[in-house]
Amino acid sequence: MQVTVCLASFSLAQSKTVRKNLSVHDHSSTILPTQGIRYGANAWLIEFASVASDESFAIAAMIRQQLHTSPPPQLREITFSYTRVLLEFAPSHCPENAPSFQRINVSSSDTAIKTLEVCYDGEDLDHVAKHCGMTIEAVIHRHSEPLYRVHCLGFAPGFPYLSGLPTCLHTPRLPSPRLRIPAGSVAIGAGQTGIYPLPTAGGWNLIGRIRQCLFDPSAPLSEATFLQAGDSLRFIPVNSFSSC
Amino acid sequence: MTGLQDGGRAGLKAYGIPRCGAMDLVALERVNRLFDQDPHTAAWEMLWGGVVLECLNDCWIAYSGNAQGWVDNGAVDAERTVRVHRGEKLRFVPQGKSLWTYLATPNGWRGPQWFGSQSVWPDGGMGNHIRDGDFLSASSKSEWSPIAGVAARMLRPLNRDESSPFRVSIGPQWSAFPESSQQMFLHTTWHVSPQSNRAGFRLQGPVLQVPSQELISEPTIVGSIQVPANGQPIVLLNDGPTIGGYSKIAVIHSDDLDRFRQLPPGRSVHFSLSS
Repeated sequence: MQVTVCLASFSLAQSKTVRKNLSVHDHSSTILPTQGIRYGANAWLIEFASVASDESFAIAAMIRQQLHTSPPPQLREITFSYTRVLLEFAPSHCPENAPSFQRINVSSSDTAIKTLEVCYDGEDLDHVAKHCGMTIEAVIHRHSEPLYRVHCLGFAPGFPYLSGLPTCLHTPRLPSPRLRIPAGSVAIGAGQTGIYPLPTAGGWNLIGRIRQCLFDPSAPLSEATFLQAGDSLRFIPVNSFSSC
Repeated sequence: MTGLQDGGRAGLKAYGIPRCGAMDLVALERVNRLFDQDPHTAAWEMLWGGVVLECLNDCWIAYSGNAQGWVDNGAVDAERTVRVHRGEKLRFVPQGKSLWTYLATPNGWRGPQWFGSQSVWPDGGMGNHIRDGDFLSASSKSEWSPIAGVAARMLRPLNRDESSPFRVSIGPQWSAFPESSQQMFLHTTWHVSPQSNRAGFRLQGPVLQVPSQELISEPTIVGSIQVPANGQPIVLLNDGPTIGGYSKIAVIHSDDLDRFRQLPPGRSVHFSLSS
């Protein structure tokens, strides 16, 4: 559905004063309250929210759209996280002041709802259940209940940063990360849940695994990652994958 | 460990795909310059050396780096075009002073591309390092030759100041570190840990106290120096994570990164703060 789209006028000229108070929203102004942090010689790290939330997700979408429609000159790389966006410029082309963005209406484009079958048999499932004071069945039920949101991809190719993990499932990271965990592991780290697309090191609690490949380096870029920023995701518990 | 590396794949961090690419871009650019080709044309990046190649067809090669090249029993200079003949053996003997040596050929080497780059990244499912029995071939048969009457081309040696400190600027969480940690970071002689790879170099030294507040994971850049809970810094490099949750105390200046990435384990490192 197309809603109103105000094309953003992208301003590189922001006052040098750093905006610190992110929680106060001045609705009379259309400039988003952000804080620019210089990151090396060629990049700005821009904080647009203080916590991951529906609000931060909406603001990220506004910034994303403005970077898409009117990118600042010589911008080479855009990397979003929950609350920050990194803008990397060609050497000696980083603007002196942090780019600023406007509060705009973003076309609520077709949000894809994706599902992933999960076999909940991870080696830390017992630990998570004990930590949360629940049965394993309850952990599985609560983990597969919400509709999660993909805020961004990062860390490793196709790794989704999700929001929506119920508070009752928050479990601290392992004291010492595993050196190699299997690709497709579904895991909980503190207040986050995610899926490891590749065999990498990782410090999260493994609660299950998926069979779906999340990253295919041989596919064209538009199809290389199963999930994309902006997607919604639901986990479907299955007993095993052997039926297929 | 030997794999093809070029200038890397840019613009893909939003997918979680790191840039990869040559650890010593200056060396890659120099060796390609000998053949008048795109400075980021892929070359074989050899860790230490130790590679032995048998020449199956006469060809031109050049290398840049600290390993010593030999053609049969004759030593050949780095950064100089060399004609290798069928049946000759090309060897690279480790010298131990720096990590990476690059082997180039006119028009580059044949090899698959992932997202517009030949840089291999085995952990990311993008290719592999070479193994015994592999064949290396130039990407095209078009002939290259030095200017008529010139036997070979060479470059004036690059004199890197190996002893000067590495320039850093403050990292996004610099001010969240206790002042004692900031000072300790700047005044310590750090050592490159053997637990280092293309994703990151670990540094060994005194334990830095880390900020008490946990960070929400945020985007990273190459050269960032993050400090995990154990207080031992890790410098994030080419194949490293695009987003991370550890506080970053400083960032190595991009002009000093190539020299830094050549440091072998055990080498001492100093940092100096520059604006």
